[in-house]
Amino acid sequence: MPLKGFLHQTENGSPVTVGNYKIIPVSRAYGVILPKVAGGFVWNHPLAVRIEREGESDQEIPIHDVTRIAQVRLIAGSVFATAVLWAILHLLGRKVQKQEPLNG
Amino acid sequence: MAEEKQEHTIDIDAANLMAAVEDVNQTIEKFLDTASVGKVYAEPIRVGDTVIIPSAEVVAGMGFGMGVGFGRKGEGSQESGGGSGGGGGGQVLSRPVAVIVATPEEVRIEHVYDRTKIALAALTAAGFMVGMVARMLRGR
Repeated sequence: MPLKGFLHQTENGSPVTVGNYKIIPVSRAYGVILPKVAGGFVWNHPLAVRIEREGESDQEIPIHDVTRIAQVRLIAGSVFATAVLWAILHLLGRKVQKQEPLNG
Repeated sequence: MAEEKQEHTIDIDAANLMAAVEDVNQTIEKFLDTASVGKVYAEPIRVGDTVIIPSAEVVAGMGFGMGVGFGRKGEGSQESGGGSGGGGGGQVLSRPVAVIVATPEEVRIEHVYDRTKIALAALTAAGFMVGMVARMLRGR
């Protein structure tokens, strides 16, 4: 019977040897398996590549999802810029309201 | 007022039911298999001394449901009937993220830029900003 609940697993792939290197791809998966119904959601993505070389310490190169990073930055940037603009307009509006009785 | 109690029985083909449950279990196991490392990294491609390993992000979602119902055939009728049914659906999405290029000299990661997705995000961000600014200016 399949497991139920939250899923969080980091898994190493089979090592690939190239010259003196041994490359081990690493993936990470997150998921939710709904307990009441037979269903759920799984998100699995590449995490890093571990490089092992004889006589040297292991090296790990992270894999970044540049498309996702760009998407998040664009959306977050637009929300932030809009908030700043709103704050500026709001402050300007209050200043004008304060000055109006003096001028009149 | 005395409550009427009536027992309902439905003929269910046990063999068919077991086969359906087995199908559901197999599908869930296949679904959980999307969390394995083999679904993210493709088989290494060797070109001379160079090894290329493509990698992708995998998103999977699915759900199953079933129900049983019974009732009288009509108003005042003593005849009763029932039935059962079920269904399910799911989707798996995959998107390339990076390519690992390994030569005897070095190992490097070549990232995959999805220009269409980035352009769509930029358009959405610009649309959101223009809409919000127009609304702010209208409200003044």
